[in-house]
Amino acid sequence: MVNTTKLIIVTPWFGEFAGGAEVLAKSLAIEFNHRGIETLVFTTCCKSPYADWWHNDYEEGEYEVYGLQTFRFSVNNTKALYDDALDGFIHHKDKMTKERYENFFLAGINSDNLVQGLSQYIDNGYEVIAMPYYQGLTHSVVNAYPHKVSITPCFHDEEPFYWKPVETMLKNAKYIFYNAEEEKELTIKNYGKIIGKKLIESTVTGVGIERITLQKTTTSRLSVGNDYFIYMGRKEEGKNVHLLIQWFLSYIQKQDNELKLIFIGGGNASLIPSHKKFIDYGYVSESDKQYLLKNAKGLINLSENESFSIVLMEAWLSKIPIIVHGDCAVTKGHAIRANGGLFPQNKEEFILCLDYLLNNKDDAYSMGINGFNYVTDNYTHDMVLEKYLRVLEVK
Amino acid sequence: MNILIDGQTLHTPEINRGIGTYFKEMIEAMLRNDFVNNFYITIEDEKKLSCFSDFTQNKLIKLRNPSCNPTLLLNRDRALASKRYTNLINIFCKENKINVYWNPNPQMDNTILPLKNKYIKYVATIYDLIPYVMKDIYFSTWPESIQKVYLEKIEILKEYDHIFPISKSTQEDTIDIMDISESKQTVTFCGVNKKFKPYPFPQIVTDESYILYLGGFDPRKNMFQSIDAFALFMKEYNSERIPYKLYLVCTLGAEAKDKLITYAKKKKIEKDLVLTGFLREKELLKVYQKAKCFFFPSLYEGFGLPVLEALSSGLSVACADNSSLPEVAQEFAHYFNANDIDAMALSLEKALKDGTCLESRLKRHTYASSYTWEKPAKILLKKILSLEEKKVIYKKKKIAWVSPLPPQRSGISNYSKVLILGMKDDLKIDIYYDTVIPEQELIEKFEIFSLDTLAENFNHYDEVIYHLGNNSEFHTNIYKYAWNYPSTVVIHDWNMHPFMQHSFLNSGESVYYDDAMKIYGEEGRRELNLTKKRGYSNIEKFPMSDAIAKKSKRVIVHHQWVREQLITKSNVEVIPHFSYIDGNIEKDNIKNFRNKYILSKNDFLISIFGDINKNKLPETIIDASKILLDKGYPVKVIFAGKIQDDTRYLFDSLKKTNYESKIIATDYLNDSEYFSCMFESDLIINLRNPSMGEASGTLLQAFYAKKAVIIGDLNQYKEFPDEIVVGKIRYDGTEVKQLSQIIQHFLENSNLKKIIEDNAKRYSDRILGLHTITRRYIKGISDI
Repeated sequence: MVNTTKLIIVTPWFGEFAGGAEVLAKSLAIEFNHRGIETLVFTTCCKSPYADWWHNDYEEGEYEVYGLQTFRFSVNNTKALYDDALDGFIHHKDKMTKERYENFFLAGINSDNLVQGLSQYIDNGYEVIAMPYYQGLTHSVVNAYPHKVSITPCFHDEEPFYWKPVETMLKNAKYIFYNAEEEKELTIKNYGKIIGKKLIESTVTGVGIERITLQKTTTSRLSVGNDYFIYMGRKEEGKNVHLLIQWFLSYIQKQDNELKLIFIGGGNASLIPSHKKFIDYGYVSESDKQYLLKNAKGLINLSENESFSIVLMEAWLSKIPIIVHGDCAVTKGHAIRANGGLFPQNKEEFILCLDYLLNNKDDAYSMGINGFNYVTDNYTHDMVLEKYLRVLEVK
Repeated sequence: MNILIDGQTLHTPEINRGIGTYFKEMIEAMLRNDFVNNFYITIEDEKKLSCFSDFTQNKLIKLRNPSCNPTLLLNRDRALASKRYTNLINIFCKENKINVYWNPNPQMDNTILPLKNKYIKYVATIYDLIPYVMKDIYFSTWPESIQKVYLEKIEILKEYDHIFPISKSTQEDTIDIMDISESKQTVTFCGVNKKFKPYPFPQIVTDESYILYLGGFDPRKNMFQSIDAFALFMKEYNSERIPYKLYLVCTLGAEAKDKLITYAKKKKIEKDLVLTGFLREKELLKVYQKAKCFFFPSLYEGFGLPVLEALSSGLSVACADNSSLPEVAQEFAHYFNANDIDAMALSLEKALKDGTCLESRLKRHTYASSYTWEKPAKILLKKILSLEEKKVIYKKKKIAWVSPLPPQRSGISNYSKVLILGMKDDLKIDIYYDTVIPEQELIEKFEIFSLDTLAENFNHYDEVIYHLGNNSEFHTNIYKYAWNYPSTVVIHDWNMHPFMQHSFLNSGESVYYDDAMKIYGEEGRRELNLTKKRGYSNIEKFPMSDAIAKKSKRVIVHHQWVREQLITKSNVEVIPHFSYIDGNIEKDNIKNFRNKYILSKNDFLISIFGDINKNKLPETIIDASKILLDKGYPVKVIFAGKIQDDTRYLFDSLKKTNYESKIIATDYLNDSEYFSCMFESDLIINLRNPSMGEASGTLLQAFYAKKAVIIGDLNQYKEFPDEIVVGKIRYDGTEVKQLSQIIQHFLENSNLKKIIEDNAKRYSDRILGLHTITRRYIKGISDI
């Protein structure tokens, strides 16, 4: 029955980093615990992907992180193997070997101690969910305990996704949880016939998101009016921030108006040009974030590398429309299903989209409302967690 | 049997209230659980039926007339309206040979209750007699004209043949107040929608702790006293000082809202009172799930559906001890006297102390979910059918059975064998064969005669049953006997024209063809002349089963749709094709089959059974399969049947492509391989377009084998409830897209597979089971 299920979430970094998979791991662990399902977190002693993956930033042991019982384990010392694999991947693709493909994952962030530490929990009433697929720790845990560990892989359409170790991991996984329909389609397309029924019957759970209730969001120290679109998240080329800047520059060169682009979040601030129409606030408080979202004309996220995109959901919870890249299957899929935004594929279309939202306020408002309904109808914590639970308990 | 459902409710606001829920759910459940009776409904405009599922809309036979809308009739003089409506119902009953009229909403002021006529049975559902039980609040305060209508309706109902109160408590009232004897009543409880389920986690996460009351601004709902009780509870019984809120869920006008807020202020709980107003279904389900307990201090109920919904949502319940409430909530509630504020507050305390642990929530849910709509619908239908049942004095009848039989290979041959073996203890059956002597097992169990001898023996039988199908080799001589010695015909294919053309048109016996065309009048004669010149005919326009049906004393068809197509209907009875597979499949046979066709346990097996001709749409199925394979789905598609010449090219074109090993045609399969394939299938596709109105034996076998099936949304196939199939394909040019999408959705949802397989098996066993079907044959024969 439900109350006997206990969970362990395995993720390489926990506590100091807020990438998509880590936010998901945190949300699952907190919300399951909150609902009375004991959930532990198993992670490494490395503090973030920006730190040295083969160095322990923490002592090995038990911690309390976000109120959760968290176990940190020492990382492996396999840097040389990883560097060799990475070098092969970047510079000598024709010389990639079976070992290099494996080392790309296994010699990255990984912990034999963590794998060993799980042994007393597996078969002892605990369900284990590891994430994401890109990090070796997930592969090691799944392969060490075949058909006993489930994964939330957070797959993207990128080279490593097609490599043999991914197939091995999928074969050994107990259940697979997808973040989006498009992620599942991609996985079926490439591994459906090899892995078979398990892959097809796996569930699209999504990521739970609920607005944090604040006393007031009507004012903020950041008074910028409301002639702006907003980008929220890490400023990285991998997120197409450079493209966003290029396209937005083209827009402001053509249009003589007050429209600005505001950035909130961390990452590489040097990507943002010194221009009065680009404002980078960096990290802001929750209330400032909500204020800025609520007053924006819309949120823009041109990343083509998303397996869910929490920021879209946050924008929709503020009832504003979104603009996403037409080549990103996941974000475009959300926009279409929600009828909550636009999805240009090039600069010209992007300019038309900005104009459309500025000149058709009723439509822009409706898209925001549609988006809000989409999030509250599909991605509350209760709904997402119930999907996980139904698979872990019923099957 | 022909049952007339009064559809006035569809034209009134009650369709969106409790009575409407009962009305819709009962009709849906009744139709889902019946295959052979005709359900008529009175209706002004067909659009009003949109609140029903497609299946039910299709199955209901619509009797349209503007006067079916009571609001139009009641604009005029009430007595006149009543008279006109009674006349209308009488006409409907006469024209459609109605056996039983059911009024599911007789008491509301905005509907008309027709007077009973002596020719048929009248039944009605009674929700409550609250206006009379609580006379001071309701009846006595009404205008005299409304009182008169209410009393008149009670008098009319007393004349009805049977009454269905929705609770035992209401039944007691109908005995006491209406003086209707218990023997003329059957209780049909309400059901609870499966959407009401408990919060799925051990601890409930919610912004605030609240007590839930679903009410209405009606004195009976006792809202002011509920505020009193809550105020007292917060003051005297809430020892832990938990900041509970009282959520009152109901639609309120401005005046009602003001009154409640003012009252709450007086009781100093205005900050704790939450008036939610109307809630969307999704919001309502959530509000139920997250409440700390359910509070129901109603002064009187006919049933009390909110209590059942609360229990189904897992809530602990504090409710009044009056009327039907104790029989609904049983031991799952803390009861109180609804006029005793102190007792109410105390019960609230007890209900809250029950706690919200998941185990207790699930326990309550399990109890409440036993109240399905299927149960009362079956009780209602059974009673309705029994009102018309004739008492039969049993005598073993003597029957001649004229049909192809094994070793002849055909669906009808197998059908006949299974049936006569199932009926042999109840009937004296003699077999008449045409050219091929039946197999040994039949020779041992029955007396066998050549068809040539039927004429001389004809008068020795109570009934001769001829089986007619589209195979000229098997059915030509049977047809001739059926025509010349009329008795009972079983029409397996509604469109017999291909058979008639092949068997008689250009033969020396074209008189059979000519005679069969005469029933189509001048049009038929013109077509006949044209046909003789051209040498072929318009097969789809003239099905040619009408003449033999009219000439026969009794006609058996397998689907309502076929009955509706026939020109003469009065002698036609629907007896569905049974759902049955004779024998078991050995594990070794299955293993051999899997090896032979290289089936991996990781692949989904999709199968199509029977001869592969164009009307089974193999091209559509192949194209949809290709889409799935291209998307990466691990499917293996097996066409398990003989490839006909007109489809062979489809399979030839797959050779040396990536699809060759994934889409296979087996050609003829022996029984062992055929059933191995069926039992191993994850999904079966059964499409036919055009259809000859035939019953698909393979489809019914698939249901018996507990298999999920995709069928076409056409003619007789519409009669299968949506719940027992994966989907129904519309033939509108988008078949490939529909089929690939339905299959994809099905493959991705293993829970759906289980649900559909269970539904199919349950339906197969209960509605189409061999025993049920043989009983219908025997009963029909005994009634003659």
